Amino acid sequence: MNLRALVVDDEALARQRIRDLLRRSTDIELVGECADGLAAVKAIEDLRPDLVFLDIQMPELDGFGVVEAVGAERMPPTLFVTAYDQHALKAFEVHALDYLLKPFSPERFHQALDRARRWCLRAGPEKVPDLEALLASLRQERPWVDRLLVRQGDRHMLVKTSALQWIEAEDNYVRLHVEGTSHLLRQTMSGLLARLDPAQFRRIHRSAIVNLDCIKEFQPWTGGDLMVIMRDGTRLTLSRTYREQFGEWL
Amino acid sequence: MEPSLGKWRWYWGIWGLLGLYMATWDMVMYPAAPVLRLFVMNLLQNGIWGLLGLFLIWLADRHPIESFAWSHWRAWLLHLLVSVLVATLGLFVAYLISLVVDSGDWSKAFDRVQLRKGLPRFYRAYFHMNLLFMWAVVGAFHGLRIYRKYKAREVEAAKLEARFAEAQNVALRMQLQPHFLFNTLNSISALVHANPDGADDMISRLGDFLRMTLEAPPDQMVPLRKELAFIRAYLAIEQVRFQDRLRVEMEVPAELQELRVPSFILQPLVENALKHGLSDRPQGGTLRLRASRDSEWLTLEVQDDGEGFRSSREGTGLGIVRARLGLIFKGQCQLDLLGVPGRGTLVTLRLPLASADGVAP
Repeated sequence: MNLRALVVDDEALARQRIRDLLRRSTDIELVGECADGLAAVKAIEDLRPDLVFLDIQMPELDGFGVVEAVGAERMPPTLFVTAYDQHALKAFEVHALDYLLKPFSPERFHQALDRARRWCLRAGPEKVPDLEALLASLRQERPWVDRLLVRQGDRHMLVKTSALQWIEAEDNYVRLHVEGTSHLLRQTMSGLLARLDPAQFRRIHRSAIVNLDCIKEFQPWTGGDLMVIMRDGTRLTLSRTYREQFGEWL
Repeated sequence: MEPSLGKWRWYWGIWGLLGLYMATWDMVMYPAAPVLRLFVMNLLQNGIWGLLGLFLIWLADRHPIESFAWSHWRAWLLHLLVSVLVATLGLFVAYLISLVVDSGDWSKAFDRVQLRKGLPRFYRAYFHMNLLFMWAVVGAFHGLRIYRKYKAREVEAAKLEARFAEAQNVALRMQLQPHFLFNTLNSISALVHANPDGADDMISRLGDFLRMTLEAPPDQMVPLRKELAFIRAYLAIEQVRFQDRLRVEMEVPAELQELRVPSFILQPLVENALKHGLSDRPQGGTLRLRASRDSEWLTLEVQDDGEGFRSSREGTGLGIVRARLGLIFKGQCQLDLLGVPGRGTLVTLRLPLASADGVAP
């Protein structure tokens, strides 16, 4: 059985290195190469590769961002490649994940590849790495995201969290309001709130989170609620339940 | 100057001791006089001298004598005149005190005839010595002032050295920055197979680069040409790694090459431009390095066409550049960042030519 592999690295020479080494393994078919995280997310979803060589340090969306965007449970077996990243290496050790350190020898590469092969064929004692647990432990180091990946039709876009004005709950989704437009994201309010920097984002209602930088004023409203007027004129309600966390100002 | 309580204790202590010393002198001169009276008189007189000395110190603090140069004759003259005036005034008060203490009677002490007779004699006996005291006060003040300045300069120099060592460290770390080094080695291992000549080339570039970091000059200021050679070696490697994504344009007129700039000062700026301006953009971009001068300033510009600097992200590299500039030029330089969202960032560094002209332009 041939394995279909995807190589993700922002440096052309680094991709070439892996391509050259893969050429020696006839059972691996290279189905694509990506130079950035956004392209990688799309390629993983479209091409459904069996194995991904994933560089960690990349422009805009890094390797872990790719895993998060695709979803740890939907991510194919992944071999992380990095030049130097102490946080990541610590997490890899904790979760007994194999990884490739640049520069690597052909021997080391094929050793890692053999193991990845066994993951893919489920033919060995090793468990497929638990990416969910890996992400969870990385989150302790870097709890807040500065970009969110959203889908518009079959396009993927990155939205900077600093550009978010407010976030609205919509059934199983959240609606991200960005200047003049909005995006749907499959995520829960509390799940998203946990990834946003609390210095900038606060929940003001069961169904609304605001970017504090985008608030223009507060006005008294009924029953202990407050009216929040955003810079773009949007009116939102700060309910009594959430008013407490504004105690420092109100 | 902010004198502490401790210093004033010293000041008055010295006057007190001097008073006791002069009392013993009087005891030798006038063996018949009651000892207690001599002590009281001398201590009171020195109290007056101390107060007048405070006035001299206050004046010296406002109009200090900065040097022995002729151009400072005003300050010298001021202190000379004022010390003569103060000595004259002090001696008059001291004379009154001696009369009061001597006779123990106010009305008798202020007898005009007595005053007119005794005062000139008193002045002849004590004026020169007391003028010397006043000069000693002014001299001691200036001595202390110079000492403090010297101390402050020493501390400053130590700070400067520490900062430089830190910057050098940061530079070394950047150059030997694990990421940079390992990624470069990884690029070489790809080139070895695909393009052996390219691999060769890359190895020699890495060699050049490492050599320059090892040969970092011990002094703070280096000719611009050296700093640029260093930046070129760094960019030569980055260019291979970024491939066609990184374009570099340098505009540095030949006549500016020997002007002196703080070593490693450009590198954090270039690194920032690559990091925020280029590596975050898959399509890459252009880095522009320009140097120019006018009559007073050497202007260095680092420009990228990335997404535009956001002030909230002034990193440690820039912080260290600012700190070093502050210490070297004491505010006589400018570092400005201008970010236009979507258009790029322009970092402008203006250095005073007075410091850059170490070698004739």
